[in-house]
Amino acid sequence: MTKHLTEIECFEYASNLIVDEALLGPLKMHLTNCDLCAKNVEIEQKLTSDVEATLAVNEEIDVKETVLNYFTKPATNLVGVDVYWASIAFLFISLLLVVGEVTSFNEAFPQLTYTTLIASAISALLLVDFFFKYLKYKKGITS
Amino acid sequence: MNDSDLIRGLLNQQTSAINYFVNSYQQLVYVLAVKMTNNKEVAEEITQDVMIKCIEKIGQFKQASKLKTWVYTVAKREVLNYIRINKLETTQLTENETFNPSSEEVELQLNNEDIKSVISKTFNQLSLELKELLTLFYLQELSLKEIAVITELSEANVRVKLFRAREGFKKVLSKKDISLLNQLRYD
Repeated sequence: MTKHLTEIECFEYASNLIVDEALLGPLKMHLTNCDLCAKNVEIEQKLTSDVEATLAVNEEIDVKETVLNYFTKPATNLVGVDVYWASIAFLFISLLLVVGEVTSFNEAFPQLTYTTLIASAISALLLVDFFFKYLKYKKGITS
Repeated sequence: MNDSDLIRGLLNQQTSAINYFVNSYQQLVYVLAVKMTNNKEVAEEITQDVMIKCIEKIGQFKQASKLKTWVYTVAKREVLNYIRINKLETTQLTENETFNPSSEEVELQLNNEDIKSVISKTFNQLSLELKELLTLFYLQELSLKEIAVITELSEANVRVKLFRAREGFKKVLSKKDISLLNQLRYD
């Protein structure tokens, strides 16, 4: 390599951006023989270290606590009446009582047999479903 | 802890995984944010938001790149959003001058403190894109490939932009901009 290194070559060499051995070999060879280019590369390296030293951020931060607090769910205070579930339970029991009052299911729907029994079974299933949902909800907020 | 274990832990929001993740990445994000916003309080706030956002959205990380690269991408977007929403001012260097001082001139005129002052002042005047590139290159020591992924530029483009930014430093360190040095000395 007889030509002097261009500015961009000096910069790339000084910044270790040239990884291709086919390019790197002749550059190294030239730099051992050319004082001017060697000096330019040295100055580029000095500029790199100056930029790194100037831009360095020495302050350290710790946001671990804030981030952890964000992801830690606060435990719900279960003392007192759980208004949401109490309201649903109240409505459900009222519905069951109303259904219980209707004694003439079989008369209202003569074409269906065991209508009262079917209605009671559906109500019972809904009550069981409600109970398990409540357990799941309670487990969720206390975990 | 390798990336896969860390991601699995973050998906389950395990305390140990969150701790490890924050310890590993908070400083990297802070450095990028502080360099782009030039404001420590804002940078800390952004760092918190980035950490939380990364943990919440870890399911969206497809592992096509390194976790570090993905975190930087999230951080970069967060910083740009913050700057846009809060209308933080950024200034750009003009690119109309093509003065190339010889390296000896630079060395002769300035001592170390002067050089640092000029570099710092010049850096603050750069565009956000160049600030980001220089921070990733000089402070985070990322490869050109990783920088290209984060900045969504080609490797060749990153290379050229880095060179131009560097030329910007050399330009203001030259005799032509000695007025800047005088101004800094009297600040």
